[in-house]
Amino acid sequence: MPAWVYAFGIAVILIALVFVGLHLAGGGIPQH
Amino acid sequence: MATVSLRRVFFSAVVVLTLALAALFASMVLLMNVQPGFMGMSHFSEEHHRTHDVTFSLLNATVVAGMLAQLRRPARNVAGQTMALIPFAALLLAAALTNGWVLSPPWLILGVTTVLATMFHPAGDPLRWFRGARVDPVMAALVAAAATPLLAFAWTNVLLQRAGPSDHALAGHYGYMAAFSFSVLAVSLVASVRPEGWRLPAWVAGALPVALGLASLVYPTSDSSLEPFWAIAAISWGVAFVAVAELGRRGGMRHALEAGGV
Repeated sequence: MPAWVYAFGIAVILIALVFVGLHLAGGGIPQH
Repeated sequence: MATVSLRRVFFSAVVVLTLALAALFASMVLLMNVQPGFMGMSHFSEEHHRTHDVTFSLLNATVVAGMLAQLRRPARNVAGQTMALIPFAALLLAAALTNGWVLSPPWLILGVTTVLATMFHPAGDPLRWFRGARVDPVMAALVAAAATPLLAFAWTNVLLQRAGPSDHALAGHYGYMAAFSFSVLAVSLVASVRPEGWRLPAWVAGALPVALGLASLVYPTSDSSLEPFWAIAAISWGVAFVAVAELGRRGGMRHALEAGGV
């Protein structure tokens, strides 16, 4: 597997996890 | 050799984890209906949200279908792995075009594990997955025909999501509808390019608009339900796409057999 796949994958994963963290820190899961 | 085996074990574990998480989220939704108010949510229990709930489930079901295909011969099912990434990419795009209300843990978490599975996929470099693929011109024409209404539907929902705050926009629902449009377009495009394992995306690309069309006919008063004309058009397109894919496959098999002198 080329290195760019790991780099891109890790970047996307980190961004997604930051979003999850921000969402949870903002008061849980305020859905309907 | 040991490294390859370890990669394969890790890949399989991530695939199983993705499916287990999807099952967990589905069981939480089930509990919300058995025990109203579970975790302060009520998915599928309010009719005005019904089409949105169906749409979000369809996005997750697309991930599940693609990842289920990885349980057996993943190297021959790269189309399924590509398809599993599409809802995540489409939802990220919808969030980027609108606002943070579209971001929600279930799809972000499934997206993380799906990306992780792609990084350790036995087929290797994703850029090579489409090498040797042959575009089906009739399927591609159907995708082109659907592109304008799908993008118009997506843009309408992007504007609605941006216009918030409303009951639906605060829950990211219009963003989900936009992501659904992007996903139908991308999954049908993947199917028409026909990489290894393309039949699954072909069926999913057909099933998605059929399901939205049927939900719209069953719940016509639900927000974002398609008008009857467009619901029937969506169902017809989905059926036609699967029919063309299957006829093309059988035609291709016949040509291959004839070329082989059988």
